[in-house]
Amino acid sequence: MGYSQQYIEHFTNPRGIGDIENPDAIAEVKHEGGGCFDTIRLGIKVSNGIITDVKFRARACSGTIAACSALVDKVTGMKTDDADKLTPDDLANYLGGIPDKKQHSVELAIEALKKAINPES
Amino acid sequence: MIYFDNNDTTPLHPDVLEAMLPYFKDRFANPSSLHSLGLDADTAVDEARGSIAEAINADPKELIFTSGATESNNLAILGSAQTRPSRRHLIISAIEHTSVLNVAKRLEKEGYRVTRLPVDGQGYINPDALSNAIDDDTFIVSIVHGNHEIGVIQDLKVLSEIAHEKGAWFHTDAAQSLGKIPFNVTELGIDLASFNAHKLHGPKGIGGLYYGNKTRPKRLMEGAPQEHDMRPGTENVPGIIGFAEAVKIAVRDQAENTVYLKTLISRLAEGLSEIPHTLLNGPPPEERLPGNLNVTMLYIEGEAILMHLSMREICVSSGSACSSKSLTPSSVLTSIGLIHEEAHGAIRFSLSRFNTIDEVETVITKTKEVVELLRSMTAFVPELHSERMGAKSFYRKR
Repeated sequence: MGYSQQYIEHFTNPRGIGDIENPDAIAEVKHEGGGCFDTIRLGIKVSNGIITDVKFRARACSGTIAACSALVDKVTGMKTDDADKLTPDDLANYLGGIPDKKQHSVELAIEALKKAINPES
Repeated sequence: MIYFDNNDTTPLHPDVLEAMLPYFKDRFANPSSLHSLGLDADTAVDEARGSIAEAINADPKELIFTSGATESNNLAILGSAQTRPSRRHLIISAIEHTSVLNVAKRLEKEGYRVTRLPVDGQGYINPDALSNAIDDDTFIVSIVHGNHEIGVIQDLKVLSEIAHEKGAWFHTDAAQSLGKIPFNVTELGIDLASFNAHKLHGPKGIGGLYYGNKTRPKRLMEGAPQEHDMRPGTENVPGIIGFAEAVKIAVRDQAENTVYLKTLISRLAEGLSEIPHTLLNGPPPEERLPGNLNVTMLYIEGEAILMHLSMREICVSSGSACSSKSLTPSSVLTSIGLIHEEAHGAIRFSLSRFNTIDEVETVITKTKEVVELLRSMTAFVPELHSERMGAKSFYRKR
């Protein structure tokens, strides 16, 4: 399949690029298994169990940039418990579907989110 | 649209299209037919074969048409293995096209020994490595002439002499070099060579295999005895005519195209070298296949650069894993010593005679813009690579 309008839009105008001042958690993840090496640094700010701010930086392909941007859109204002339940498929659906070759992108973005929400695990 | 992906495929030359059209229309017959229309097609195929053979200094009896270089590579290596069953060793280089790499893997599974010669930091094979690897069991040495990604050109004359000293046949994948640089089978000591048309402004789906009269591979397919009984199936007559016309034009204009493309590539290299933390992959521009340039922009991903350039109506290709399902970076780039992150930041620009200096200027400007944009998104900055960067030279050491 090709790229959806949402995918192109998030890739070309990514939300949440940058760093949060005094973040509550920062997660850094790298896709090493298949040799892709996309890397994400994701920071979150949480207040009363709600994610109030999300920012990221990435050395990554279009899919991972789009996935991180979609993640920012989706989880800002969400309860951490609900955000923790999000799956790569949820993110892919939010992007209007993704090609198979970009499955690693949504998996990596969700991995970064879960690591930020659960820093001890 | 600016098309800088000519090592992938090229637009058809208008004269090639004109030459082909009659063979889709009135001159459509099967060359094997005995009526006048069939004889007309057969004569046209013979003339095309003669024209291409002359361009590479071969006898027409030593050239067959195939569907392209992938098929020719398969036929050359697998067919030669069958002709020479007593020898069970194959030598290739680490930077061959996938069709050669995968044929080698297949033979390895069947019990053959395979040696993959390493290359240096610019992609050159050390002839001593071939001397050390070859023995009386080697049935063929297969080395790509001009590499599709980094444009390095191997010294085939030296390598073929080493192969012949041990009685091995010498095959080259000349898909990228035919028509772009001189290619003379006698001067280079070539026993078998693979070609295709679509890299030199000819049609897709047509290519050729040169073989010497004493180095004939066994056919891989069964059928009627077309193509010197080596490749059955009704000939792709329009493709063959287009292939011959494309070779004729490319060889006729080779010197002029080379000078023109060197001017464009020198300017492109100069412009891109102004982008900080950018490395040239492969040899210096003057040693490469005309029109080819490959650079790594550190700290960002080649596929993301490609996508942004594509949205700015510029077509290039990337060495990035993320543009394919496997996610593994280009083996050519890792073979010249790039670490994975560097291979992922690689972009290939490949130009043809139809590109212009104005397009080069636009591509330089847009690439700078895209690289700056993507680097503004990354937190993973130079210290990661500071040791490897050394003097931060654009040019790579051998």
